[in-house]
Amino acid sequence: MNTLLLSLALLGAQAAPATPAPDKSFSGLAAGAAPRVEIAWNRLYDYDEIHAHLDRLVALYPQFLSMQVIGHSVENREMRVYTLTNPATGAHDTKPAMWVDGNIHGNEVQGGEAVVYVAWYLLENYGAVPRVTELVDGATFYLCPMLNPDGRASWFRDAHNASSSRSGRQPFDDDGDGLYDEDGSDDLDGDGSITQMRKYTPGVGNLRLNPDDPRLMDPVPPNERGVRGDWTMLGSEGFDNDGDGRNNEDAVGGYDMNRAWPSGWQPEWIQGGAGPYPLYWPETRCVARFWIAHPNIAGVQSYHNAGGMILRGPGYEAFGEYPRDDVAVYDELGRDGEAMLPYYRYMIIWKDLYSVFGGSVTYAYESLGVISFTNELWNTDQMFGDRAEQNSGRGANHKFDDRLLMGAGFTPWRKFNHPLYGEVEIGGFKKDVGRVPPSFLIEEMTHRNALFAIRHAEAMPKVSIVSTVVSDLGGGLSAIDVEFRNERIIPTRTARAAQKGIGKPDLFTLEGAGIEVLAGGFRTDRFRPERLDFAEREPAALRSERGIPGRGEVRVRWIVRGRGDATVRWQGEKARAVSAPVKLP
Amino acid sequence: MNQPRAAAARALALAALCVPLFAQAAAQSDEQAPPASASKPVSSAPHAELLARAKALGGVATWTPYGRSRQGRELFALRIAGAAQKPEELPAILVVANVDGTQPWTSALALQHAEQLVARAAEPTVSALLASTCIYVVPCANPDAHERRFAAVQHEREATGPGVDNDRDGRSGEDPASDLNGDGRITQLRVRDPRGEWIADPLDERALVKADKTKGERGVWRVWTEGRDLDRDERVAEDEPLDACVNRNFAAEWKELAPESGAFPTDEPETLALCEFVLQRPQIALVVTYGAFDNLVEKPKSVAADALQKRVPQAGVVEADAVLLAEYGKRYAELTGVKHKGRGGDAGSWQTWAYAHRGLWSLAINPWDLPLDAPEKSAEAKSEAKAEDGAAAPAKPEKDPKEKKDKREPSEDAKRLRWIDANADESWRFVPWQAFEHPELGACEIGGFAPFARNEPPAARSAELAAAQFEFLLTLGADLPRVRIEEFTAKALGGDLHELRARIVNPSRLPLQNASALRTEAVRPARLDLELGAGASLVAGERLHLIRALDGSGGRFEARWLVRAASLADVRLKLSTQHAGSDARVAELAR
Ligand SMILES: [Zn+2]
Repeated sequence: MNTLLLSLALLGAQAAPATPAPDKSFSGLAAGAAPRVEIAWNRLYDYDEIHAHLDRLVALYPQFLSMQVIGHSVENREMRVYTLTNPATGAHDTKPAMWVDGNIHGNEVQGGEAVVYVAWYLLENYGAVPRVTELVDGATFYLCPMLNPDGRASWFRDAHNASSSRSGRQPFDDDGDGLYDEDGSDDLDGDGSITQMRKYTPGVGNLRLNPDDPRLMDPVPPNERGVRGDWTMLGSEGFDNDGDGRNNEDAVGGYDMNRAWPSGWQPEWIQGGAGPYPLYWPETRCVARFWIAHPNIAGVQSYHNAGGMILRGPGYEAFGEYPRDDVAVYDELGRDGEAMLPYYRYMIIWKDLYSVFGGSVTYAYESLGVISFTNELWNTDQMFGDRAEQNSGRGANHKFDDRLLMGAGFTPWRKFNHPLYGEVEIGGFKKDVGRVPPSFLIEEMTHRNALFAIRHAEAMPKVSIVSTVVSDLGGGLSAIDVEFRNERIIPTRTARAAQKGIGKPDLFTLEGAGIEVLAGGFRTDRFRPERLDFAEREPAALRSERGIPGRGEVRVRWIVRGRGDATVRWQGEKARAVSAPVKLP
Repeated sequence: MNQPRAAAARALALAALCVPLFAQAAAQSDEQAPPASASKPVSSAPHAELLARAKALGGVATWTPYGRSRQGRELFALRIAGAAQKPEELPAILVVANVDGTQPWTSALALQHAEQLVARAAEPTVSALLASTCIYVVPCANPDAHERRFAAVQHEREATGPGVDNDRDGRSGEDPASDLNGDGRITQLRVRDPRGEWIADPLDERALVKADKTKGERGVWRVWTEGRDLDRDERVAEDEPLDACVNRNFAAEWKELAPESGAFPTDEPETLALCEFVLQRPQIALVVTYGAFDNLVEKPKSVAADALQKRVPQAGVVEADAVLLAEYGKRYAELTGVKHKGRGGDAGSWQTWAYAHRGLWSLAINPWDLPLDAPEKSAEAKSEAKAEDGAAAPAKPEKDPKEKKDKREPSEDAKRLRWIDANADESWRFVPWQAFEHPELGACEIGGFAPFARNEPPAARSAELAAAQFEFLLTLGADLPRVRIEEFTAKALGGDLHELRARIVNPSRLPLQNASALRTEAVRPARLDLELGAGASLVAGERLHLIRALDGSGGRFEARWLVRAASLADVRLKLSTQHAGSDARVAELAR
């Protein structure tokens, strides 16, 4: 006869959240009624201002938020990581962690605001929103608001266009003439943006002014009548500073810190911007080292702009598709993201965008086995909502600018006397038009994207012990059956980690002073307890490369001799350890 | 003593042969008797001793430290340069030894090269080289692994960087090698085991060969590195605390997630420091690497130009470069007589990074290995045989027919043992198998080839080997691309109008940029600036030319301008390059 002892254990002991005060706030509003730290979410903030916001949060919530400097940029700015968790429920590195960064491309600034928003939202809602409380207690957030602080500072300070400058500020000889950064663009009209130059060239141009809107130019295709345009485009504002016959061909920097990461990295001549070896720039290297030193990181989000995308690897077709089980995780989160982020599409980098070698999120997944996304924040489809016809065509930006910005986003064409070209006209959209949303849409963008990262964090593994059952096998022998469950979507070890032996395998242990563990293993059949993949050695400490699947169970059986108190335990890198007592009568 | 003398004679003969084929440098030095120091044995030495000798060198050598190893040992180079104004701007050759860490003798070799260059700086061959070329020598690129040669327990192992959990048991580094029999060497351990894959070579029981199941052979021995089974997993010494290897940690063809590769390329401080050494000295055009790898004896795998069309092309040496490399191979064979192939692969290696990512000429040399040749009977017997045959073909051993009946070639290890047996002083290279009672495995045997047995030439031959390598090194400077302005003339067209013509020439054997540099664009193009003084102005032509491709052996580039200039003193041409020198001229009136 078997004696069955069933003990249910609620584990992963967490401190009970403080009893919330009576809800007088508008908790249905994401920001509540009166946040303790007021941040205007309709603005963009410079490097110092981003840190100032986070430092205010540290000052008000010192128990949850702390800052460390993990390195310095080329121009010696601090590379800061803010750690957010409730240390009262366990140290940050004992909990699964969500890494969120922004602004690895200098011009893609709004990721910085979105990272600040993650911290702000979680801290303001801790204790008021139970799921936020659970997340801050049970998980860690590592927040790096600006991976390219020099690039950000330059974008705020210097004249740029919406797409410049992706790079950091280390000198780079783009044109191979032995000189560094000697011929960048020049803000000839002093409007703070690098716009376009056009010249009136009657009868020998290839463009003509659009009759309805002379700010626009229409191409004049070759035609039988021999009619040609009156205008010629001369590229971005600037001089031929180095006198080599080319304009603006060697601006400051000229590399791409999101082509610098080790997985699938290719040298400069295959992947432009890659640098002479992976992680060449200090900004990238200190972050990679941080990731390696924190194996508890179980999710990665990297905010870029623009286009409305939720991107995952692989970055190149020949790398092959990711393992099926991991693709299922990506798909579930990615589709959720599409629902949370109107006008965004869930895409595979190489297939739906272009080939990328050496991106940061592909490194996070391929080398570290971490489910990771890049979000491309802001999509011009959002300008007029679902009135698709308003969003399309070359005039769409003007329509939006005229109606909703009263024309402030565009520098009208004005005459300028260029030393080489003579009289030209300079004009065009300013640097803050096209790739960052207008102020009144920034808050929506930051909230939705922050919540997608938070949703990703909620998907990180959480292990519990569902049941421990002791069966008397007679003759002084007992069997202990334990069911371990991962309640969340992401497995304790991704299929990639399992396949490539990344990190440490999961450990399932049984310990007890009065017992001898004779055998132990993973059950392969829920109903036939003798069907057991049992370990060849060390049966009390079972190791598993596969870990516990997302929203799944692992059943372990140990055969023991002896009696008394024992403890079963699960330990892994990407979820909190759990244990439960077992009594052998 | 007979054998080295015979070999020296052979080397001299070969050197003489090569005179008509290879210009200046080699020919001149052959005329001179080598100085006494050249015949002293070149022997491996601990890093501290190499460092002290290098620091004390003086003369034309400049002490050039460039970083620290993971364990804090100083990484250093010597810059050897003649009396040139700015020697650091001359085209440069970089000699790097022992990036692997398991080739300590090559460190002694490289340092000896530096010492020779200093000692013989006044000799015409050497001074001619140093007048035109800067030589950097990094004698010991991986000192931490190097030191294992001199440790109380010798262990031939490359790894010096962070370890992984090799056996995936959740613990890292818990089961390292150890010197069980206390002989001061980590050798091998063999256990009789039906799971074993190895059998004794029937021609020499000491050598192990893989059992060939298709021939009905069943494995007898399981073979491990000497050590305990501390984690009791029936695997011996399978989880060392260190795994990352400096010479697997470079970015070219880096193998992600392999234990020896390191966490990411350049994570190893020695790797990073060597990369930076090169990046900070763009004048380096050619790299000679002493180590396990070779690309001179054996032609490296090459890829056709059309294989480069893909976004990520096939790895390998571009065919055009492989052809030139093969020319070096011929010269190398003639000067050194080295015939054995190297070891190791391209993945993540220094020599591959230098070529494939930096566009440098990368010559990889493995100077010595345990010979596979049948031992020579004696020099006398050999020369008699030669005299009888009247040809250079080696004398055939007498027992040849009998061996043919056996139909079995000795395994490579058996051949190496044959050589060891024939040389009484070399018995240290093989540790006879001896019974041992292993704490975990029970009865087993410990023995096999000693650490560094294949990496350390016999002391008696070391000087001669080093001299031959030095001889080869001396030939390399003359080949480096060097551009110069061969003509810069002005033809008066009336008034102050002049037509200018310039001709840029690369007289050296090597092109301005090799095929790898042309595709990587890691070497910047030559820059030709027309500089006009206040009294001159450009009427037609390009003020600046960037010249990327310029063939070797007389490759030329021509340019033309129209200028107005009252005085030709106002019309100058400046040529500057990254690693092929510079030149400048004032226009001369054409005759
Ligand atoms: Zn981006």
